[in-house]
Amino acid sequence: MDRIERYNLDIMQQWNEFKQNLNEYKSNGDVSKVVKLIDIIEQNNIQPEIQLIEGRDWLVFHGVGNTREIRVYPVVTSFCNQLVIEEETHSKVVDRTITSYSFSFVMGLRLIKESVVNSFVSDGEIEYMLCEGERYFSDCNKLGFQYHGKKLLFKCGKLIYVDGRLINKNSIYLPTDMEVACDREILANVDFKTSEEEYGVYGVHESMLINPDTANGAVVIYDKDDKTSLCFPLFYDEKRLINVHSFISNDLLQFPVIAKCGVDIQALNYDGHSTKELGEFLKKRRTIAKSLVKAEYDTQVTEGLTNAQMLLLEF
Amino acid sequence: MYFYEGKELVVSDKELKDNALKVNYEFNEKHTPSFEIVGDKLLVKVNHGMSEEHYITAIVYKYENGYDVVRLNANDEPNWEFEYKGNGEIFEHCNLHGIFAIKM
Repeated sequence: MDRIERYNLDIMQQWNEFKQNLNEYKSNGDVSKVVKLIDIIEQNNIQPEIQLIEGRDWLVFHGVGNTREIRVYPVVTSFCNQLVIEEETHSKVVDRTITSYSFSFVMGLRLIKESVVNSFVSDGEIEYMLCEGERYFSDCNKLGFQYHGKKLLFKCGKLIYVDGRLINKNSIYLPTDMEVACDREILANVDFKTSEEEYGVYGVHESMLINPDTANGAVVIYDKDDKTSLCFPLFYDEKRLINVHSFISNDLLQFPVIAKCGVDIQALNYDGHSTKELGEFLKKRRTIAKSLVKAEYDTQVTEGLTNAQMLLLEF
Repeated sequence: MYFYEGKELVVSDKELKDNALKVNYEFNEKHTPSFEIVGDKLLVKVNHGMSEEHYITAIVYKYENGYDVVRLNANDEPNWEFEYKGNGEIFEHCNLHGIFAIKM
């Protein structure tokens, strides 16, 4: 029975719709970056439908925004250059769709071929057409990063992070040792939503990026309720355990914590079609982290330490 | 070999290129699949010989929201036991005669 290949029509249809949208956008506007990315996907013979065969070890996703979610599923077990891109469209706005795609594709493709993304780098920054930014990143439509120990820059509204240095008090802070943990494949995403009034109503925002070559990656969760963002760089060890380093920061509590824990991704029964279990897991970790952060924050503040200092906590 | 997206076909490169795709629903003794539902299993058979020159390349079970595809070699038997997922259609592809199907 293992010879059966299984195809999900819904996802195939979504993929087809997505390609159709792309074609329409190609004829209507300048989407050179998107086109390039799509071409790269096709040139590399990445066939999402084919990769939807069940029984493979799908692992991760990349979610963008609250109007849709785009999932990128690298095949981690075989470390091959394959992606599955699943779209869950909740909007008919083509522009928004395309720009979200471009973002996800850049991030996703970056995971499999650095040169791909490098082709989109100009003057050291990657410019994304973040249509979502109209709402999410109203002050800035740039989100950039670089590679292998170079500067990592997020320039979106209130948040700027450069090379391990906290620039803004509302920043998410990615310390240097986290870069090491991630084999300097820093993959991060951020949400800068500071108020529902300003940014609308959002749920938990989850993003996860994985490098299929190294199985390293990161997941970011934002929770509108407590305005907390977490970044969980991930990496595999030889026992296929994911080590999760997490840290936390928010408007009120600018004190990042790195928490280290382990979880067998297989134990999550993560089938690639649901983020619920992983989300629940990360929420639990966040809850723990927050309590630890609070406790340590209170302690450290009384000792006059700055918020750039970190704690390394072992779960 | 392609599973041609959006269509109920398992076709060769040449067929795809030639756009000579047609699903034959008319009964053909040697090609039209037969099926039997036994409990939670769907047993599909094709009354067709299997040789290197002439064989059934694939059997496709289409159900409400997906396909199960099994690709066959010349030394396989032209039948398969699928997990039954509701009524739909069954397709088979003969390397010489094309695609035949039956609606369940």
